Amino acid sequence: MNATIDQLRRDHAVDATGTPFHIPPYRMGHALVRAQSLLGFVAQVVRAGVALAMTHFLIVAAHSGMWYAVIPVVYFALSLVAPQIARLKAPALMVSDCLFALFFVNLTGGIASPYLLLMVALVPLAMLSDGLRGSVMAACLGLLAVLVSGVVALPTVSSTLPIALLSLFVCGVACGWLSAMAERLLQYICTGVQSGLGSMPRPAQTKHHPEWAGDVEQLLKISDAHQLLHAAKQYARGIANCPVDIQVGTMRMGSVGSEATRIVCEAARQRVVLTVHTPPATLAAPLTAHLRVIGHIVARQWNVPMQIVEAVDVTPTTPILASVSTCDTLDIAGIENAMAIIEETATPTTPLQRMVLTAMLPDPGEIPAKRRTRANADQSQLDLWI
Amino acid sequence: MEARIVMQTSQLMDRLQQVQLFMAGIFFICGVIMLIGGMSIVMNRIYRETMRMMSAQSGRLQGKSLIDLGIPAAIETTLSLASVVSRLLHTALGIGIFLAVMGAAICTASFWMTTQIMR
Repeated sequence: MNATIDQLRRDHAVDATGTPFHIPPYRMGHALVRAQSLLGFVAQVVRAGVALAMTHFLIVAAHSGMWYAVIPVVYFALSLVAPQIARLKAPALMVSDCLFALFFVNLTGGIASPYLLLMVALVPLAMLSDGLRGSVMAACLGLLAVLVSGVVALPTVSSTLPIALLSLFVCGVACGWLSAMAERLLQYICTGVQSGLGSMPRPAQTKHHPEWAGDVEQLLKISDAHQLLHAAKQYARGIANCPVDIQVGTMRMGSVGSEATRIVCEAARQRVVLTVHTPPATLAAPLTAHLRVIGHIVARQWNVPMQIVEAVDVTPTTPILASVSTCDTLDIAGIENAMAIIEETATPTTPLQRMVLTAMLPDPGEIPAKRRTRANADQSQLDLWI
Repeated sequence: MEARIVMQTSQLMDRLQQVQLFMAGIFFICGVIMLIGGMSIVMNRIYRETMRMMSAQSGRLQGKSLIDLGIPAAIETTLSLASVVSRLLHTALGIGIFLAVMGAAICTASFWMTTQIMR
């Protein structure tokens, strides 16, 4: 769930820097980014080539005294400058392309001009610049331009007009379909998300279990690391209905194959990896979301005991109960023996016991803060901090 | 008398042709308007601001989700809303393309009508 939100936020945060295939650059691999820049370069070269071709006719038109021969000059300048202007959007460029192509066609004989093919060529060029939207828009603008040229030439109707209209339509449909397919393929390659499957029901269970909220509450109360891990595994297994392994702080991320799903959660500078032994396809989105929540809680709670202990004053004479069960977690020398004495005498009542305890347990000031460890997880029963 | 009738018939036909041309022109203009409307829908990319706003708010929700246990439900709602908006985006794109194609078809039809009238 969080990853989906992250993805959404990041996708739309960089949406302003639109790419031809509408995929954020950080999601694309190096090769794809290179391919994309190559496509942009090809589009730029084609535009400059068209502009250069038009300058040839500029000379002819200038000789015949046509004032609108200036238009190709403007187009030439625009095509050279356009890639340098970041604010100039692809649609504006496309409209200018079609407009100048229209002028060029009318300059060279109107609807009967062989350069009517330029209109058709603009469609793939727009596809390179703006994908599906660009190709659709270029095809529509081309159709409009050809029809306007045909209206201007009325009552004479050129035989090339239906061919031009049909070519534009076919080219627009083909380029639109091609760019949509390419965009979908690239999205699948870059994000692993196959579009168009959102409405399909997930194969696994999608029923929401309200009792999980209670489990999560219980998890939040646990501050002992081992108990937290144990409880988290238990809850995760209960949610996923399959074995779940939880690793904390691991950096080893080997392949788990297709029969397992790996969920990586990072919180409070701690990485938690949940390995769910079930194929990803059978794991429903709500289940994944709840497992992710459990992973985040484990990551956040993992360092909590140490942080709490550092804030608590240590008093060796605190009444001690016999239910201490985590002696192995203590790394202070001599403490394990002290525990054994404590279990025999829950509360030091006699002067001898007090003396023994004072001798066994160090003064509070002698214990370094980082070595203080909480002794038991059951907070309601035991308030002992060593 | 016959010449007068022929002249009147000719004038009537001319007027009829003018009306037909006017109708074809109206048809052409309607097509152009549809074409431009469709293209503007395709290029405007509506609902983008909505999507951005939702994405920004969902980030805040995500931050609170581990503190407040009621938030994950809200996040799920936000996600479903985001998917709905995404479908709306696709629908808008489809509507835009449909309008543009219809506009182009109407323009072509009106042009063909004009050529038939003027023949």
